[in-house]
Amino acid sequence: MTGPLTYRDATDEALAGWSGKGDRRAFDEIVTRHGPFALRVAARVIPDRLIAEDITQEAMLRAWSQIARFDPARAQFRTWLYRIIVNLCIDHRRRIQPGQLPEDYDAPDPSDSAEDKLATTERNKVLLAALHQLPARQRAAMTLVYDEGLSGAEAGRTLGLSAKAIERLLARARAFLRDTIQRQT
Amino acid sequence: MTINRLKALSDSYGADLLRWPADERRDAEALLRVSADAQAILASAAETDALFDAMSRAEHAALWTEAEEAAAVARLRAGVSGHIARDGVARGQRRRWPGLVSLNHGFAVVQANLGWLGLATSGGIAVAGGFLIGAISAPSGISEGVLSLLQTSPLHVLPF
Repeated sequence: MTGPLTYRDATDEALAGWSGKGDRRAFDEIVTRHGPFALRVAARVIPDRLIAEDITQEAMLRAWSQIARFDPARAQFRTWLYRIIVNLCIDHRRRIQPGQLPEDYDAPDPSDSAEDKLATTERNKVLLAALHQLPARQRAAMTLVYDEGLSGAEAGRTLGLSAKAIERLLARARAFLRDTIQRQT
Repeated sequence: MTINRLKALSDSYGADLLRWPADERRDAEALLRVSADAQAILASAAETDALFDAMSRAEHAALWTEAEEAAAVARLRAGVSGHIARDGVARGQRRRWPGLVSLNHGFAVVQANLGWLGLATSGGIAVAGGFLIGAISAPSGISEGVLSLLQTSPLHVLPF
């Protein structure tokens, strides 16, 4: 690295440029900076935390191997990186059985009574089952917009879709979840 | 903005206008101020949002706590840097094509051994040259077989 900037102060694009020249510490800063997002998205799209961690690591290694080809004139680095992560999660999700629940999905609130805990557990089971039945792209779109706060346009660039296509995915996901929950509760 | 467009946006983004496309927010707010139908559409979307909030809380309980997430990020950093250092995942190489990586490693092995190869070749040439000189300078009396290539007496004069 050259110049007065520290890795922590550097922009994503600068870190990507240094990483593209083989600077592993610059790439480590990228992993530190975007790892939490990557892990959260993976864990939401793939209902197994261990697999989600593996997929996230695979995505980061893929980003490292391709980072020299990143062109800041064509895309924001964040969008470029998120696309790799989200697409890998979607690809994996399509290969696994839908509807699998994580074993620790119902971590109870210690302040609840036994009856409350049971009711909460049952309700959570229904809610999470509905979430995990969503098709991978719809799940990814919901995660990006609702959980991570991306705009429809940003989510579209991340998934390689138009903003209109994201709107349709979100609308279908909301309708499916609403109908499923109302049917089961 | 039309009622239909407002309905489409609320079906996608819910009742929180902050999620809506920025360039359509102002028109939506203007419509909501004057249209009871628009307000009803948004109220319905808010009910669905409440379901999703409950869903999000349920899912959040299944995800990492703050400490668990920090530990997961630490594992991620260690795993990524370890793989890069150990496997030498070079920029521009595709990890899904291990054959290419192996080929590159093969070239590296050849390059690393070229020095030894050169040394062995030079040694071979020197030995062959020795046999040749022996053949040229051998006394005429001993001229048959491999033994004729051995120098039987000190070499006095080279022919070149």
